[in-house]
Amino acid sequence: MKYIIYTILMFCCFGAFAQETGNVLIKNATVITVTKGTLENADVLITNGKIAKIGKGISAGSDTKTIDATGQFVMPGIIDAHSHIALDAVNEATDPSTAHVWVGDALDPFDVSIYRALAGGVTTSHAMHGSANAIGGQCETIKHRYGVMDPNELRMVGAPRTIKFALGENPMRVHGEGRGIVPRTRMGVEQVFRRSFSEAKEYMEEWDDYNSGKTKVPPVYDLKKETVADILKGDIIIHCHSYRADEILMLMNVCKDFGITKLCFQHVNEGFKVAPELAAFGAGASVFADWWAYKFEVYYSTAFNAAILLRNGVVASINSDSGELIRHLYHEAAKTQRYGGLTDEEALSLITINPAKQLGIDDRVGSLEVGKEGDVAIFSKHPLSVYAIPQYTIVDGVVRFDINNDPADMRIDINPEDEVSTFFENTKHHDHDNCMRDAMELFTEK
Amino acid sequence: MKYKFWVFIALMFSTFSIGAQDVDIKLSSTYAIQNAHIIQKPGKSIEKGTLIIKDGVIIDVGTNVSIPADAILVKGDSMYVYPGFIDAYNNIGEKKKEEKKNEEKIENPGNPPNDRAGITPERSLSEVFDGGDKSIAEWREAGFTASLSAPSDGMLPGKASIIIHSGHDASSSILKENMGTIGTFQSANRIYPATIIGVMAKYRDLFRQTSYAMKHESAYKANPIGMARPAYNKSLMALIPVVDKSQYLYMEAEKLKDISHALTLQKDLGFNIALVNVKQGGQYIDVIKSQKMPLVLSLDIPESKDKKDKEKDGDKKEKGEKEKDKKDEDKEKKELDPEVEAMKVRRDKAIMEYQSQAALFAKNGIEFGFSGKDIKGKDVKKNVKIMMEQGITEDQILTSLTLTPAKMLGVSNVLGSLEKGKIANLFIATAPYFDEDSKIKYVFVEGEQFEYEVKKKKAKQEGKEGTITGLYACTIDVPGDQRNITISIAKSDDSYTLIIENEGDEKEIDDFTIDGNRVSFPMEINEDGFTMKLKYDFTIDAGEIDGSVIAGEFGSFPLKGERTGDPKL
Repeated sequence: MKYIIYTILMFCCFGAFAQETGNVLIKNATVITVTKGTLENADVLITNGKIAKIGKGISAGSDTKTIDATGQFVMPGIIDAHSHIALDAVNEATDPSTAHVWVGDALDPFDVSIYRALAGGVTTSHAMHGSANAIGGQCETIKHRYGVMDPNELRMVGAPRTIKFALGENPMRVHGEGRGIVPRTRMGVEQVFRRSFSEAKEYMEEWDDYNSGKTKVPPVYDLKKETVADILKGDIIIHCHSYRADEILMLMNVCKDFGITKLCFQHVNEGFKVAPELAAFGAGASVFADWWAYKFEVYYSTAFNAAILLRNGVVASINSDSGELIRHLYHEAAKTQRYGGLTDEEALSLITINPAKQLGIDDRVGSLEVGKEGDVAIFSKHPLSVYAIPQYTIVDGVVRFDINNDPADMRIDINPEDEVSTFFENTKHHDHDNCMRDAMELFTEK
Repeated sequence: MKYKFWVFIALMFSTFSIGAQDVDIKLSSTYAIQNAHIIQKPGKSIEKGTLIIKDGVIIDVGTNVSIPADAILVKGDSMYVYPGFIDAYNNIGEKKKEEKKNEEKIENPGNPPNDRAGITPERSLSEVFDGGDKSIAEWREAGFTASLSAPSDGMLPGKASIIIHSGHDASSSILKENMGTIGTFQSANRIYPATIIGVMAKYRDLFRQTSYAMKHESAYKANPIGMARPAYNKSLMALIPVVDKSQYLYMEAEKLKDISHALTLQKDLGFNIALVNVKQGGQYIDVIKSQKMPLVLSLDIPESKDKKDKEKDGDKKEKGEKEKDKKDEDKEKKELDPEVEAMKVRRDKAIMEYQSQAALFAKNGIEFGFSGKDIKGKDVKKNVKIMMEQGITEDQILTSLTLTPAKMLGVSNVLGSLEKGKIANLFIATAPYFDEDSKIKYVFVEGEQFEYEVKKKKAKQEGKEGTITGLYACTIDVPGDQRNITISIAKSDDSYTLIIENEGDEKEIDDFTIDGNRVSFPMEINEDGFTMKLKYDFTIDAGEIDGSVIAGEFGSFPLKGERTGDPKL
């Protein structure tokens, strides 16, 4: 008997998880498209996971879930360009360059943080390697399909590859202070980049010689150099942890020297000082709304940072870097109206279309447009209002968060050996400064 | 710290010697097991059959067989003969690891030497094999006569070999060497690969380097003139059979995410994969089935703690403690937190999913072997019976312990069933194996007989209610080991006498505290100038001892025991 019940449960679960895309009709809402204006009393139809229609008086078949959103606000699913949720490992802090590792190998679909992000309207996040190394590992853009069991199902398949770089004190602390090796100084960090790019160039040449038959002995395969070579080829976007203006200029110079154009700065607390230079380079900037002074190199910043960058023509976004902030990125975006007087659309672009551009996925998500993916957040009030409460969050047309109907216990994989766990136990790792997770013990003497 | 720990363990038990009870001189290598119920293989058995063993081989089996004159007779009346079980993945016979000390500091943690990073695919089992290791005796006693055994530790710990559990040296124990290479997701300590992302990247590097090294090697063989000589790299050389698919990579993949990682690597690198020690594989049933990958499920399954407690409570109630219990129950009811209760329900459901994994695979027609890697031999029966509650049959369990692993390992011509010509690996039980009271009396490993004392029905005796006196057989669980001691508590007039016995070495304890049913006392061990302070602390309830031995900074070890008779005087 037990067995039968179990089998039924298994198949039910399979049924729910196998459904990757869905059909949803949202009726009578204020539809904020971000890129194409705002429509009053409008409907949004998502068919097979894609936005099929936006307008008035749309109807759909019985296979489509209908949500009455009268008086509510619909916006594109929020995108977080910098987070470390859903990861079993963040830092492989054993070397100043670990371009060969990839956090996409450590996705954790059971991390409740994904659900918490959904509860803040966030449908996509950039799961990043940490900032312990000058060249960290490759990152992964994930969709918050909370409920799937297979880690691979979190991936946003087709999203461009990205890699984490880090300037300044974190790599200096881990490798310079911790081990007495390069980089001990900010100059050393630059040297790590230049040496890595030069080596990768040589490596590519060696392979060219081998592949063209010029040499008979294959070079020693090196995943690290392969990856850096892919950056040089323009296949990978650099996302660089940064604070100080001088270093930001340094990395842009290094990239220019090696012909690299795909670059986005993270944190960028002094970005406002070099906003025109960033705009001229075409580099993105993903910032905190109003968080700084948590270590020496980030002493100088301003809550006007995002607005200054945006108004200078930089593709700017606001990120969380935290399993907590990710729940209210819409508040973070609203702060730019107080500090910088951004319009509603400008403020919302910081958490939708702009992070999408920084991740190279703006053709698929980041705004409500026909043909784009059905990632939508529905709020009780205007999302930039402090009274706004997320009601539904939809990913690929599948409702993944429903404030009224979700069960109280949203954990997926329960460890059978655990004592009955508490909220506290489930929240470890999700505090701020995740950037240095897995790294601290490596350079502190036991 | 670790070094000290083992010194302590060594000192603590320095008075013990390892028993060698099953070594005996035999007069003949021919045996006749007579009049027994012989299960030749699952679903095929002989009533009152006879099985003849000669020089390690089954030379005859049936009802009408002639018994050689020199045969040692084994009376099998009312007993059950089974093919020896095969553990399809374990580390049985691996030498106890020496504590690594004074290891050289690693200059470059980003690129450490392979052996320090856990990358030793070149290591054969024979290099680390110890026929005298007690894991062999332990598993043999549980009816396991052969196993696929591998070195442990690291992401590529080495190569697995099929061994038989005779307890002799490598040359006679190893049936088939270097059957396959083991892969795990273990990271290295503070050096690359220090995390799962490092481990995954390292696999990709090593495998791709191996395939290019192979190209270089063959180009050099064809015409070495003017070409740089291929470098010798033992790790890469050892990976060639995996890369060229002549050997399986046995990936240890316990949990769902481990399996996902294993499948990701397999897809990236294209090797022949076997999944071993799988505990949470239900989600991947379709992939495993469609790709026909060899599968070894873990015998380690979780049990509900609440359920265990309840059963214990039930026992108590029978013993006339109903009233007291009822009070407790009422109290409990008031304190129930609905949130906690709901979480317990979910945990129990999770436990059931682990317990029913084997049933699910069997139901889907997928063959698998079993791995005892994370349990003790004596717990096998208890665990497979829990699996059977979830719908797997006796025959399916037996198949997974005999025929399937033999087939999977390519030795079904010599192992896995009791047929003429096969290696004489078998055990004889006093009743059908799955019966609660069935005990294994004899085990034959390649025709060598091992006999075990079959204790009559549990000798547990309870003292009078409320008294704690008695003789208690206890075990202390220390990591990777289990030690037996006897505790005797006697009472005359109003004073207690407490004696501890360590295999023949008795010691009377002078300084102890008894408070109701709780007993505690310190004990000091002095050896070669090394002093270790221990503290015993346990309670005695209904003839059972439950507590711990606390060894200061080394932690505490569980102590359990049961009353076997009256105290020593």
